[in-house]
Amino acid sequence: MNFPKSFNLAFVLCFFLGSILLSAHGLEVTLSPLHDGIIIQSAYHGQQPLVNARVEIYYGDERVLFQSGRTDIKGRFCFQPDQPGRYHLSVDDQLGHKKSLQFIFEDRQKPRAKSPDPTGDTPEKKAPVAGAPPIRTGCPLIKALLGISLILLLTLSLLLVKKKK
Amino acid sequence: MINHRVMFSQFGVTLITMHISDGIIPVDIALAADALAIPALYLSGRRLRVDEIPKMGVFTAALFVISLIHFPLGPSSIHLCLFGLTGIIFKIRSVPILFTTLLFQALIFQHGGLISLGINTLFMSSGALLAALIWHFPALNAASRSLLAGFTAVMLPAFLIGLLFFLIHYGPGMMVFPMLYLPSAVIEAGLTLTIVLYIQKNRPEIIHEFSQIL
Repeated sequence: MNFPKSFNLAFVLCFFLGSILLSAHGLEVTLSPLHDGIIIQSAYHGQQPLVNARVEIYYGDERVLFQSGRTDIKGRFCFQPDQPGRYHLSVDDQLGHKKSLQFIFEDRQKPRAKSPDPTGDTPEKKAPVAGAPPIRTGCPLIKALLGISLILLLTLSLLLVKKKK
Repeated sequence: MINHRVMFSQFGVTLITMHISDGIIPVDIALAADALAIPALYLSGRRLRVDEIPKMGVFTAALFVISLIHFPLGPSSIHLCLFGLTGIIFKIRSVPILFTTLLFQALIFQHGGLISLGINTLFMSSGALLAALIWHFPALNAASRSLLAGFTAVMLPAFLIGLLFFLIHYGPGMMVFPMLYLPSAVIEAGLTLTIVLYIQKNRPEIIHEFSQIL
Protein backbone atom coordinates (compact mmCIF):
# COMPACT_ATOMS: atom_id res chain seq x y z
CA MET A 1 0.00 0.00 0.00
CA ASN A 2 1.36 3.44 -0.91
CA PHE A 3 1.06 6.00 1.84
CA PRO A 4 1.55 9.69 1.18
CA LYS A 5 5.08 10.86 1.96
CA SER A 6 3.82 13.21 4.64
CA PHE A 7 2.20 10.26 6.40
CA ASN A 8 5.41 8.23 6.34
CA LEU A 9 7.33 11.14 7.79
CA ALA A 10 4.73 11.82 10.45
CA PHE A 11 4.58 8.13 11.32
CA VAL A 12 8.33 8.03 11.84
CA LEU A 13 8.15 11.21 13.92
CA CYS A 14 5.42 9.74 16.09
CA PHE A 15 7.46 6.65 16.81
CA PHE A 16 10.53 8.80 17.41
CA LEU A 17 8.49 10.77 19.92
CA GLY A 18 7.29 7.51 21.39
CA SER A 19 10.81 6.26 21.87
CA ILE A 20 11.71 9.50 23.65
CA LEU A 21 8.70 9.08 25.89
CA LEU A 22 9.64 5.51 26.61
CA SER A 23 13.22 6.36 27.41
CA ALA A 24 12.07 8.84 30.06
CA HIS A 25 11.43 7.43 33.52
CA GLY A 26 7.86 7.57 34.68
CA LEU A 27 7.13 7.86 38.37
CA GLU A 28 4.60 5.89 40.28
CA VAL A 29 3.34 7.13 43.62
CA THR A 30 1.24 4.96 45.89
CA LEU A 31 -0.64 6.06 49.00
CA SER A 32 -1.28 3.45 51.67
CA PRO A 33 -2.79 3.71 55.16
CA LEU A 34 -0.80 3.04 58.31
CA HIS A 35 -2.74 3.47 61.56
CA ASP A 36 -3.68 7.18 61.47
CA GLY A 37 -1.00 8.04 58.97
CA ILE A 38 -0.38 7.64 55.28
CA ILE A 39 2.63 6.04 53.65
CA ILE A 40 3.79 7.46 50.35
CA GLN A 41 5.60 4.86 48.30
CA SER A 42 7.43 6.27 45.30
CA ALA A 43 9.20 4.38 42.56
CA TYR A 44 10.33 4.81 39.00
CA HIS A 45 8.26 2.95 36.53
CA GLY A 46 10.71 0.06 36.58
CA GLN A 47 9.89 -0.30 40.30
CA GLN A 48 13.25 1.16 41.36
CA PRO A 49 12.50 3.25 44.48
CA LEU A 50 13.07 7.01 44.55
CA VAL A 51 15.72 7.25 47.23
CA ASN A 52 16.17 10.57 49.04
CA ALA A 53 13.55 12.28 46.87
CA ARG A 54 12.13 15.58 48.06
CA VAL A 55 8.54 15.29 49.33
CA GLU A 56 6.33 18.29 49.95
CA ILE A 57 2.81 18.17 51.28
CA TYR A 58 0.58 21.23 51.19
CA TYR A 59 -2.77 21.64 52.83
CA GLY A 60 -5.87 23.28 51.42
CA ASP A 61 -6.54 25.40 48.40
CA GLU A 62 -4.16 28.03 49.78
CA ARG A 63 -1.42 25.42 49.68
CA VAL A 64 0.02 25.98 53.10
CA LEU A 65 3.13 23.86 53.51
CA PHE A 66 2.09 21.09 55.87
CA GLN A 67 5.15 18.89 55.84
CA SER A 68 8.28 18.29 53.81
CA GLY A 69 11.09 15.83 53.88
CA ARG A 70 12.84 13.11 51.95
CA THR A 71 12.02 9.55 51.09
CA ASP A 72 13.95 6.74 52.72
CA ILE A 73 16.09 4.12 51.04
CA LYS A 74 12.97 2.23 49.93
CA GLY A 75 11.32 5.32 48.46
CA ARG A 76 8.90 5.70 51.38
CA PHE A 77 7.70 8.73 53.29
CA CYS A 78 5.15 8.71 56.08
CA PHE A 79 3.01 11.52 57.40
CA GLN A 80 -0.05 12.01 59.52
CA PRO A 81 -2.69 14.50 58.37
CA ASP A 82 -4.03 16.42 61.36
CA GLN A 83 -7.21 17.74 59.77
CA PRO A 84 -9.57 16.67 57.01
CA GLY A 85 -9.42 18.41 53.66
CA ARG A 86 -7.53 18.62 50.41
CA TYR A 87 -3.81 17.90 50.38
CA HIS A 88 -1.37 18.48 47.54
CA LEU A 89 1.58 16.18 47.33
CA SER A 90 4.70 16.42 45.22
CA VAL A 91 7.58 13.99 44.98
CA ASP A 92 10.69 15.28 43.25
CA ASP A 93 13.96 13.42 42.83
CA GLN A 94 15.56 16.75 41.76
CA LEU A 95 16.96 15.03 38.71
CA GLY A 96 14.10 16.02 36.47
CA HIS A 97 11.49 13.53 37.65
CA LYS A 98 8.56 14.94 39.52
CA LYS A 99 5.10 13.70 40.34
CA SER A 100 2.30 15.80 41.80
CA LEU A 101 -1.13 14.73 42.89
CA GLN A 102 -3.80 15.82 45.26
CA PHE A 103 -6.08 13.89 47.53
CA ILE A 104 -8.79 14.51 50.06
CA PHE A 105 -8.30 13.28 53.58
CA GLU A 106 -11.58 12.67 55.34
CA ASP A 107 -12.03 12.44 59.06
CA ARG A 108 -13.34 8.94 59.53
CA GLN A 109 -15.30 10.02 62.59
CA LYS A 110 -17.12 12.70 60.60
CA PRO A 111 -17.48 11.71 56.97
CA ARG A 112 -17.77 14.82 54.83
CA ALA A 113 -20.05 15.19 51.81
CA LYS A 114 -18.41 16.87 48.85
CA SER A 115 -20.02 18.80 46.01
CA PRO A 116 -19.46 17.37 42.53
CA ASP A 117 -16.21 18.32 40.89
CA PRO A 118 -16.76 19.57 37.34
CA THR A 119 -13.22 19.03 36.20
CA GLY A 120 -12.41 15.39 35.93
CA ASP A 121 -9.03 16.44 34.63
CA THR A 122 -7.16 16.41 37.88
CA PRO A 123 -6.50 13.01 39.33
CA GLU A 124 -7.88 13.77 42.72
CA LYS A 125 -7.84 10.92 45.20
CA LYS A 126 -9.37 10.18 48.53
CA ALA A 127 -6.86 9.18 51.13
CA PRO A 128 -7.05 5.47 51.79
CA VAL A 129 -8.56 4.10 54.95
CA ALA A 130 -7.12 1.11 56.76
CA GLY A 131 -7.88 -2.11 54.96
CA ALA A 132 -8.49 -0.42 51.61
CA PRO A 133 -6.23 -1.20 48.67
CA PRO A 134 -3.52 1.41 48.06
CA ILE A 135 -4.13 4.13 45.50
CA ARG A 136 -1.88 3.89 42.47
CA THR A 137 -1.23 6.56 39.92
CA GLY A 138 -0.33 5.33 36.47
CA CYS A 139 2.43 6.66 34.30
CA PRO A 140 1.03 9.35 31.98
CA LEU A 141 3.85 8.93 29.47
CA ILE A 142 3.02 5.31 28.86
CA LYS A 143 -0.67 6.19 28.65
CA ALA A 144 0.08 8.95 26.14
CA LEU A 145 2.06 6.52 24.04
CA LEU A 146 -0.78 4.05 24.23
CA GLY A 147 -3.18 6.75 23.04
CA ILE A 148 -0.96 7.68 20.09
CA SER A 149 -0.60 4.05 19.11
CA LEU A 150 -4.35 3.47 19.27
CA ILE A 151 -5.11 6.59 17.23
CA LEU A 152 -2.59 5.58 14.56
CA LEU A 153 -3.95 2.04 14.57
CA LEU A 154 -7.46 3.40 14.08
CA THR A 155 -6.18 5.55 11.22
CA LEU A 156 -4.51 2.60 9.56
CA SER A 157 -7.63 0.46 9.95
CA LEU A 158 -9.78 3.17 8.41
CA LEU A 159 -7.28 3.54 5.62
CA LEU A 160 -7.34 -0.18 4.91
CA VAL A 161 -11.12 -0.24 4.87
CA LYS A 162 -11.24 2.72 2.49
CA LYS A 163 -8.60 1.21 0.23
CA LYS A 164 -10.53 -2.05 0.00
CA LYS A 165 -13.68 -0.28 -1.16
CA MET B 1 -6.22 26.45 27.84
CA ILE B 2 -6.63 27.04 31.53
CA ASN B 3 -6.90 23.65 33.03
CA HIS B 4 -6.50 22.37 36.55
CA ARG B 5 -6.63 24.17 39.79
CA VAL B 6 -8.57 27.24 38.79
CA MET B 7 -10.19 28.16 42.04
CA PHE B 8 -13.80 29.10 41.77
CA SER B 9 -14.92 28.27 45.27
CA GLN B 10 -17.03 31.39 45.67
CA PHE B 11 -19.46 29.89 43.19
CA GLY B 12 -19.56 26.55 44.95
CA VAL B 13 -17.33 24.88 42.39
CA THR B 14 -13.78 24.05 43.26
CA LEU B 15 -12.03 23.26 40.01
CA ILE B 16 -12.92 24.03 36.42
CA THR B 17 -11.57 22.79 33.13
CA MET B 18 -12.62 22.89 29.49
CA HIS B 19 -13.67 19.24 29.61
CA ILE B 20 -17.07 18.58 31.08
CA SER B 21 -16.95 15.43 33.16
CA ASP B 22 -19.66 12.84 33.52
CA GLY B 23 -22.05 13.61 36.33
CA ILE B 24 -21.62 17.37 36.19
CA ILE B 25 -24.44 18.10 33.80
CA PRO B 26 -27.81 16.30 33.89
CA VAL B 27 -27.79 12.98 32.06
CA ASP B 28 -30.68 13.96 29.79
CA ILE B 29 -28.74 16.98 28.50
CA ALA B 30 -25.63 14.87 28.01
CA LEU B 31 -27.57 12.20 26.13
CA ALA B 32 -29.31 14.81 23.98
CA ALA B 33 -25.90 16.20 23.08
CA ASP B 34 -24.68 12.68 22.28
CA ALA B 35 -27.69 12.27 19.99
CA LEU B 36 -26.81 15.54 18.25
CA ALA B 37 -23.15 14.64 17.98
CA ILE B 38 -23.85 11.43 16.02
CA PRO B 39 -25.33 13.16 12.94
CA ALA B 40 -22.72 15.91 13.28
CA LEU B 41 -20.03 13.24 13.13
CA TYR B 42 -21.68 11.53 10.19
CA LEU B 43 -22.12 14.75 8.22
CA SER B 44 -18.59 15.91 8.90
CA GLY B 45 -17.03 12.55 8.12
CA ARG B 46 -18.93 11.52 5.02
CA ARG B 47 -17.22 11.27 1.65
CA LEU B 48 -13.87 11.09 3.39
CA ARG B 49 -11.07 10.79 0.85
CA VAL B 50 -8.31 8.24 1.32
CA ASP B 51 -5.60 10.89 1.27
CA GLU B 52 -7.34 12.82 4.06
CA ILE B 53 -7.30 9.93 6.54
CA PRO B 54 -3.57 9.74 7.38
CA LYS B 55 -3.30 13.49 7.79
CA MET B 56 -6.29 13.53 10.09
CA GLY B 57 -4.90 10.58 12.04
CA VAL B 58 -1.52 12.13 12.60
CA PHE B 59 -3.02 15.48 13.55
CA THR B 60 -5.37 13.72 15.99
CA ALA B 61 -2.40 12.01 17.63
CA ALA B 62 -0.60 15.35 17.81
CA LEU B 63 -3.63 17.04 19.40
CA PHE B 64 -3.94 14.19 21.86
CA VAL B 65 -0.34 14.65 23.00
CA ILE B 66 -0.31 18.45 22.93
CA SER B 67 -3.32 18.71 25.21
CA LEU B 68 -1.53 16.59 27.81
CA ILE B 69 1.42 18.93 28.16
CA HIS B 70 0.73 21.55 30.78
CA PHE B 71 2.51 24.83 31.24
CA PRO B 72 2.33 26.70 34.54
CA LEU B 73 0.71 30.13 34.26
CA GLY B 74 0.34 32.04 37.50
CA PRO B 75 -1.57 30.01 40.05
CA SER B 76 -2.94 27.73 37.35
CA SER B 77 -1.65 25.83 34.35
CA ILE B 78 -2.56 25.87 30.70
CA HIS B 79 -2.36 23.40 27.89
CA LEU B 80 -2.65 24.01 24.21
CA CYS B 81 -5.60 22.67 22.27
CA LEU B 82 -5.11 24.25 18.83
CA PHE B 83 -8.80 24.38 17.93
CA GLY B 84 -8.12 27.36 15.69
CA LEU B 85 -5.39 25.61 13.75
CA THR B 86 -7.53 22.48 13.51
CA GLY B 87 -10.38 24.50 12.03
CA ILE B 88 -8.18 26.41 9.61
CA ILE B 89 -6.53 23.27 8.22
CA PHE B 90 -9.25 20.64 8.47
CA LYS B 91 -12.44 22.72 8.29
CA ILE B 92 -15.48 20.44 8.71
CA ARG B 93 -13.21 17.45 9.31
CA SER B 94 -12.32 19.03 12.66
CA VAL B 95 -15.36 17.33 14.17
CA PRO B 96 -14.14 13.71 13.78
CA ILE B 97 -10.62 14.82 14.75
CA LEU B 98 -11.78 16.42 17.98
CA PHE B 99 -14.19 13.58 18.68
CA THR B 100 -11.38 11.02 18.41
CA THR B 101 -9.06 13.12 20.56
CA LEU B 102 -11.71 13.52 23.25
CA LEU B 103 -12.65 9.84 23.05
CA PHE B 104 -9.11 8.68 23.73
CA GLN B 105 -8.61 11.30 26.42
CA ALA B 106 -11.75 10.01 28.13
CA LEU B 107 -10.78 6.35 27.73
CA ILE B 108 -7.13 6.62 28.72
CA PHE B 109 -6.91 9.63 31.02
CA GLN B 110 -10.53 9.91 32.23
CA HIS B 111 -10.54 13.54 31.05
CA GLY B 112 -14.13 14.43 30.36
CA GLY B 113 -16.19 11.26 30.15
CA LEU B 114 -17.96 8.93 27.78
CA ILE B 115 -21.49 10.19 28.49
CA SER B 116 -20.42 13.80 28.11
CA LEU B 117 -18.36 13.00 25.03
CA GLY B 118 -21.10 14.35 22.78
CA ILE B 119 -21.37 17.73 24.44
CA ASN B 120 -17.60 18.08 24.65
CA THR B 121 -17.31 17.24 20.96
CA LEU B 122 -20.01 19.74 20.01
CA PHE B 123 -18.52 22.54 22.10
CA MET B 124 -14.92 22.03 21.01
CA SER B 125 -15.91 21.57 17.38
CA SER B 126 -17.91 24.79 17.48
CA GLY B 127 -14.67 26.65 18.15
CA ALA B 128 -12.86 24.90 15.32
CA LEU B 129 -15.72 25.49 12.87
CA LEU B 130 -15.90 29.15 13.83
CA ALA B 131 -12.17 29.36 13.13
CA ALA B 132 -12.76 27.77 9.71
CA LEU B 133 -15.45 30.34 8.93
CA ILE B 134 -13.27 33.23 10.07
CA TRP B 135 -10.39 31.92 7.97
CA HIS B 136 -12.59 32.23 4.88
CA PHE B 137 -13.74 35.74 5.73
CA PRO B 138 -12.40 37.73 2.79
CA ALA B 139 -12.28 41.23 4.29
CA LEU B 140 -9.25 40.55 6.51
CA ASN B 141 -5.68 39.61 5.72
CA ALA B 142 -4.24 36.22 6.61
CA ALA B 143 -2.51 37.37 9.80
CA SER B 144 -5.65 38.99 11.22
CA ARG B 145 -7.78 36.01 10.28
CA SER B 146 -5.46 33.50 11.91
CA LEU B 147 -5.18 35.62 15.06
CA LEU B 148 -8.91 36.00 15.29
CA ALA B 149 -9.50 32.33 14.48
CA GLY B 150 -7.07 31.15 17.17
CA PHE B 151 -8.60 33.47 19.75
CA THR B 152 -12.27 32.78 19.10
CA ALA B 153 -11.74 29.04 18.75
CA VAL B 154 -10.88 28.94 22.46
CA MET B 155 -13.31 31.57 23.65
CA LEU B 156 -16.42 30.17 21.96
CA PRO B 157 -16.29 26.75 23.71
CA ALA B 158 -15.46 28.52 26.98
CA PHE B 159 -18.46 30.80 26.55
CA LEU B 160 -20.73 27.85 25.69
CA ILE B 161 -19.59 25.90 28.74
CA GLY B 162 -20.14 28.94 30.96
CA LEU B 163 -23.59 29.42 29.46
CA LEU B 164 -24.47 25.77 29.94
CA PHE B 165 -23.39 25.81 33.59
CA PHE B 166 -25.38 28.98 34.08
CA LEU B 167 -28.48 27.48 32.50
CA ILE B 168 -28.28 24.36 34.63
CA HIS B 169 -28.17 26.52 37.74
CA TYR B 170 -24.52 26.44 38.72
CA GLY B 171 -25.00 30.14 39.39
CA PRO B 172 -24.58 33.46 37.59
CA GLY B 173 -20.88 33.44 38.41
CA MET B 174 -20.48 30.87 35.66
CA MET B 175 -20.82 33.64 33.11
CA VAL B 176 -17.39 34.82 34.27
CA PHE B 177 -16.00 31.42 33.34
CA PRO B 178 -14.91 32.39 29.79
CA MET B 179 -12.70 35.15 31.22
CA LEU B 180 -10.50 32.47 32.76
CA TYR B 181 -9.57 31.37 29.27
CA LEU B 182 -8.43 34.79 28.06
CA PRO B 183 -4.70 34.21 28.63
CA SER B 184 -4.94 30.84 26.97
CA ALA B 185 -6.87 32.30 24.03
CA VAL B 186 -4.24 35.01 23.57
CA ILE B 187 -1.43 32.45 23.58
CA GLU B 188 -3.33 30.22 21.16
CA ALA B 189 -3.96 33.18 18.87
CA GLY B 190 -0.26 33.98 18.73
CA LEU B 191 0.64 30.36 18.14
CA THR B 192 -1.97 29.94 15.44
CA LEU B 193 -0.69 33.07 13.70
CA THR B 194 2.89 31.78 13.81
CA ILE B 195 2.04 28.31 12.53
CA VAL B 196 -0.32 29.52 9.81
CA LEU B 197 2.17 32.08 8.51
CA TYR B 198 4.87 29.41 8.50
CA ILE B 199 2.63 26.99 6.61
CA GLN B 200 1.58 29.68 4.14
CA LYS B 201 5.18 30.51 3.42
CA ASN B 202 6.49 26.97 3.09
CA ARG B 203 3.64 24.57 2.37
CA PRO B 204 0.54 26.63 1.50
CA GLU B 205 -1.17 23.60 -0.03
CA ILE B 206 -1.64 22.13 3.48
CA ILE B 207 -4.26 24.75 4.28
CA HIS B 208 -6.07 24.32 0.98
CA GLU B 209 -6.13 20.49 0.89
CA PHE B 210 -9.30 20.28 2.93
CA SER B 211 -11.60 22.42 0.86
CA GLN B 212 -15.04 21.70 2.30
CA ILE B 213 -15.70 24.35 4.94
CA LEU B 214 -19.08 23.21 6.18
